Amino acid sequence: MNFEVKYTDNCGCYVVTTEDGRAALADTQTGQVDWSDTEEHFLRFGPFREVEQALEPHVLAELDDLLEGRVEFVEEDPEETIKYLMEHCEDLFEEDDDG
Amino acid sequence: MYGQLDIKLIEHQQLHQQKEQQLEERGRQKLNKVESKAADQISNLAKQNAEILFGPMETADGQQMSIDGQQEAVLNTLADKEQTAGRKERKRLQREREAIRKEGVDTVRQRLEQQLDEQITAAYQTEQADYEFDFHTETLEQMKVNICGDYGVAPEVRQTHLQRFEAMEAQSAKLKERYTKTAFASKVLRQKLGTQAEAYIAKKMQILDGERAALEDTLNRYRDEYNAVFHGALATEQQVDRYNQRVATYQQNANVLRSGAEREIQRRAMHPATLEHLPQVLEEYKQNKVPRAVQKDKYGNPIHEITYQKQMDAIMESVNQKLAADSPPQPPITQKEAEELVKQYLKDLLAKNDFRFRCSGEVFGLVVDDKMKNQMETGTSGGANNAPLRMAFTEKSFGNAVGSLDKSEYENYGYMASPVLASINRSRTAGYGSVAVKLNKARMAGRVTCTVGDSLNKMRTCNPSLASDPDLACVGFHAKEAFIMSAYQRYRTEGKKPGETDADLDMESVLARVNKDIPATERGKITEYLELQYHGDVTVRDMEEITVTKPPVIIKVRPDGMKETKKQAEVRTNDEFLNSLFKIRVRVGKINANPEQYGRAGMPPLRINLVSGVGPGAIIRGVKPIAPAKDA
Repeated sequence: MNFEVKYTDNCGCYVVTTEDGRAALADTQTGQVDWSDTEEHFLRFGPFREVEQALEPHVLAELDDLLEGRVEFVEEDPEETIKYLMEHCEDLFEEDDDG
Repeated sequence: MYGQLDIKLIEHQQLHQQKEQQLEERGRQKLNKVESKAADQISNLAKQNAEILFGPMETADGQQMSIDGQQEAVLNTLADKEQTAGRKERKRLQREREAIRKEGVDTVRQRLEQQLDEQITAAYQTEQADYEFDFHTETLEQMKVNICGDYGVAPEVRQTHLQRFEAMEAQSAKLKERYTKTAFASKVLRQKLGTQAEAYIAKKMQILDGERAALEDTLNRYRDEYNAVFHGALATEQQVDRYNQRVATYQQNANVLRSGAEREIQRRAMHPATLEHLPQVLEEYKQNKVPRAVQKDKYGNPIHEITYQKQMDAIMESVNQKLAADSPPQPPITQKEAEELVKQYLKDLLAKNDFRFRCSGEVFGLVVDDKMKNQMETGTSGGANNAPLRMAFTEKSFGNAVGSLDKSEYENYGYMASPVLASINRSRTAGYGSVAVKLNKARMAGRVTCTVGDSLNKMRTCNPSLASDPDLACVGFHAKEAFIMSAYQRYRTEGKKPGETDADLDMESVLARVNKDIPATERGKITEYLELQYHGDVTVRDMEEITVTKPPVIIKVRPDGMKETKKQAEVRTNDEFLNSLFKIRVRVGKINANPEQYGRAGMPPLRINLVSGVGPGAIIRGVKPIAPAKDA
């Protein structure tokens, strides 16, 4: 997809505009993409700065995947996720919640 | 001796008379010379004739005092009469004599005080002497700036504190002037003063010390009250910078002196500038003076003429048709009734649900360190950016002309969230960051506006209104009818009382009902969320709880072209999440361990919640902040 990356929050989120004039907010961390008629729609909610340097090719490729919907979302089991987090980070949760 | 002083004053008057004659005779040039000579004579009077000034003053016990000749003659007459008067008459004469003497003493004292002050001022200015006097200048300034920046405290309370410290600054400035002159007189004129004058100055210094101590006591009392309200916080470096920036911007825009600009910024601190014109803008919008109409959108699609009244005409017709078709048929309602019903419905919604904003973990750290930043503050690096568009939007919705505000004064954006954390990932705001910060409603009171729907998408059919006084005009076109019907059903059909809150008011349920008949393909008709606009600075002091949502696992293609397995994607996502969570835990731990530093002393510690999953199956756990090491 032809798109122009215009803004980033420097935290993995990008605001892009596409050839048809639409704008998208693509989060490379979460894989979420939201579309709007205008980039202004997204810019209100985050501390976005203009992208001043060319992005790394793999970031552009990742954005292309996101915009084209070539991202596979994995269905998770929240219980399994919590278990993994507890195993890898001691003392993560409040004691009241352990039981 | 006092007569000599009079002679000097007469001489001075004569110089002035002479001056007038010279004006006629020799012209202005000569006059200037004489004026200069007279000024010199006056300024040197204290130095040359200190004894003349101080000689007639009372001694420390105030018994000896010279008064003018007329009063002295009266006193002598009365004294003579006393000699021959009877006992009662003698007492009356004594009282009269005492009153005249006291009046004389006061008159002389006042004259001498004035003369002394004039002479010392002249000499002080000549010498350009300086005397170190500081009355907590920096602390007072920091407290003032903090008062202006802490929007969570009610404006009237902040105004009281601000006025106190301003009055204190004014009093200390006056005290400084008097202190400085007296200290100068003591230091510079000491050699030329007699013992009585020295005693007088010492006494004056004593009085000033007493006044300073009294002022100090008042300040301590004010400071205690300030600490109780503002949690002991002084302005941070960023607050001071922001305050100065706002003052400078206004000074430049309005072309006024700094003092005038400061007054304006202090006024705006009590009443955020972005709220100032809202009542008028809203009224004009409702009166159809501001048709938010365009005939076609940028794709050429027709857009209805959608002034407020045109919307309402169509909507009320539809509402009453539905009510008539009900079983049993319901009587029609007027537009006014509909407006009242929705006002109450919005009030109850706002009471039931939470005020939140979304951000990423990284941005959360930035907010904590300073304040929530708007697009004008962050998106200003070189070249064109969307700030002008943003400003135009604010002008249309809130009435602030483009360029009239400092960039830090613009509103921030958040949303109304269901209090049920399990549904937090359902919100259409989830895309705006994995961290959802809950704000303290009491601290946000009076400075929140709302729109039902995204204010930008719906700007042609609605206008923000105050959350504390919500208006049907803040509801986007496609939600208006649904809101009227929901409010009707709630208060009329089901007979629920205003102020009653139940699960029906849960924001996600409300949005689901509003959107239930709208096909997913008609994006423009969807009510995305109930958007909140926050006015005035939003800081860590306004926060109540941090909810971190576990991002979904996605399978990515690596830069080398290889695709991740499901397991690899899960491990990567979970590890990334733990890293991001670690930073938030450290940050919150620091805030909770040092509440004074963040202006949160006396407030409950910030809580972190983690939400994994969506809906009824979601798991919510309280996360422990990481407390800093004791010596950190």
